[in-house]
Amino acid sequence: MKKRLIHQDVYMSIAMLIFAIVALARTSVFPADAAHFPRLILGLLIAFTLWTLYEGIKKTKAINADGTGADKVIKLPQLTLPMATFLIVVVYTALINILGFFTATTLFILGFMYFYQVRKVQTILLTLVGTNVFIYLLFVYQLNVPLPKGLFF
Amino acid sequence: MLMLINFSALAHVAERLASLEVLLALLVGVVGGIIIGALPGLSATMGVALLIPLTFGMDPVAGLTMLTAIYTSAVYGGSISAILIHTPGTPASAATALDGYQMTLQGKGLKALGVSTISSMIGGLLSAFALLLLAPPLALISLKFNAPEYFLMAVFGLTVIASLAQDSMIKGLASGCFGLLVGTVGVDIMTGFPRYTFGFSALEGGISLVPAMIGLFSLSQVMIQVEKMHEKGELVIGELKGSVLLTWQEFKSIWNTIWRSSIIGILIGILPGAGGDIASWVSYNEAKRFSKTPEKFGTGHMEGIAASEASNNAVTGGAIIPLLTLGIPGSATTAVLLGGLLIQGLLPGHELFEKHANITYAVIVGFIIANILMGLVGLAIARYVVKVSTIPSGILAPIIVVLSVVGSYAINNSMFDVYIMVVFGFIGYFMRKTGYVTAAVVLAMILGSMAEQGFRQSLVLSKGNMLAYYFSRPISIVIMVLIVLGLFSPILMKKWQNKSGIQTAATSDDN
Repeated sequence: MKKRLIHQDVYMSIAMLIFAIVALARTSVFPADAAHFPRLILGLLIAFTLWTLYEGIKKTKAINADGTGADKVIKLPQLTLPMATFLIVVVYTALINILGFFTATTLFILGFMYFYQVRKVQTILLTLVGTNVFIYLLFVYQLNVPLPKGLFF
Repeated sequence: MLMLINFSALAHVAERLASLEVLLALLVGVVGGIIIGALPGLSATMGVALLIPLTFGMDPVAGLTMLTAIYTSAVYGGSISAILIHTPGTPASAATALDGYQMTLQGKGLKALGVSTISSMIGGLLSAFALLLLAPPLALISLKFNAPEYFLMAVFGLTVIASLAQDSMIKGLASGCFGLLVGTVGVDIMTGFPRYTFGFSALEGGISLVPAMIGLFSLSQVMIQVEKMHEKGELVIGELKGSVLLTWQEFKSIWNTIWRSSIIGILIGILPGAGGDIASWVSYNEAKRFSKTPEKFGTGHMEGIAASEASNNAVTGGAIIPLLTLGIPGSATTAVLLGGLLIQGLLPGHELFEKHANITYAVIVGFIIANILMGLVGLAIARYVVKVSTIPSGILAPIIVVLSVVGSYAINNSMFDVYIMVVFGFIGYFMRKTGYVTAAVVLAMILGSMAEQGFRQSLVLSKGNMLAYYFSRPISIVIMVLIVLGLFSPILMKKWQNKSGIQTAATSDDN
């Protein structure tokens, strides 16, 4: 049985609709003056999103009818690497407060380059040292930015 | 026009520019911009967004000069990889690749680089002089603005969003609405009520613009690039022979093309939303029309490169004109540049040319110098810069992420801004994958508060009869006409592009 494809506009529109409706509901606790503008914007956003949802449904029907536009549909496996990247970045930012900026950055660069299949030790070390030194000289030494210190440096 | 220039401010420009900080900023901006532009996957917009945090602690002249230097140099830098490896570094150089790479294949890669460098320099210079001459009189018009005009200008600026989203206007407008909503987060100035803060005190001041921008442009780009992680393929750099300098005959043969394309670029730059990619294609087609040898276009013809490059660099100065005078960005990159202005506490409009004239004129003259420096540096290093394009993403990606984190942190020395950057990176990734416009979000965040304030003040001033009030003001009527034109111009532009067979990037997020 041929797998049914759904165009990404449908998913995006549903997500945006949920977001807009929740945000609109939230305006019920705002004073009238403060609520006017957000309600106007959310009304427009809902209208545009409904239109995009309608277009998305049309595209989905066309894809499943004769394959028109099937190549433009984003499939779940395509999202694996970007989502893995996002998770790595989230872990990195969480570690900054615990381990300190430079320690967390060192671990991040090592881990991310390994994830990116960079295996040359020279390259990894050069990137690691170069980035840390550059950040230190520019932001800490020159601009006096107090980067977070954690358990270590 | 000459009478409206503040000559006393102009006289102090040398004083402001003759400092080590400014000269270093110029050099860093030019060299950094060329490298950023040459790297496929990075863009002028992303470069400016990433480096804005650096300008926070800098002298305003140094900071803004660096950002404008990055802008113009990155647009030029895109031509280097377009010519030598048939991969435009920025969408604005896509037309350059047509003839540029053909010249490389014929062993004339260095000559092509020379044409591109000279054309970009002259196009950028002419647009910088246009900025100097046209901006002061335009700024005077903003003196006559009151709440209704500011509201309408914000709306007009937001119609730019429609033209930024060349693929789907509705998605562009939805992106803008999202940006406007993000702009409402924080304590409402008029009522003191905290909107959408959910008890977080860090949100009471609103969502910080620069971290959001860095997330939307830079982090999202890293996530997009990682999809190609497994694609193997060596980039082959064409053999470089001969001289990068043009002979007098060669220069004469492209002079008219450079001049014509620069004018086109300046005019398109002034139009909000239309950027370097549109300008380069329009100029390429016009150059072909006016040429005595149109059949040579696409086979390695210098006029083709000259047209595209003069025009896309001429856009830069043109796009800064509405930005400085009316606060309306002329392109996606200038939308980000507006953030750089606001960080320095500078508001666009007549104040920039009166109260802060010393800074403004210094930045404009700095922009002129940046274009000259770009030409000289480009001639010297272009052939070496292309090697930077071969740096694997596995090295660039972690560096960009680290710069994004530290840049976001440095604004307020707050990890909360880093979290904002990460969240917007996630949002930006899905927006870009599904055809929404991240530049529209940034623009709306910037213009949203101006729109809301103007709207609420107009409500009070009009005593409830808004429509009659707006129609009683001549400047308001003019702006309303511009808004209608702005909404329909993408449709007309698309029809014109289809007729001329021009292909541009799906969105103008990158310039």
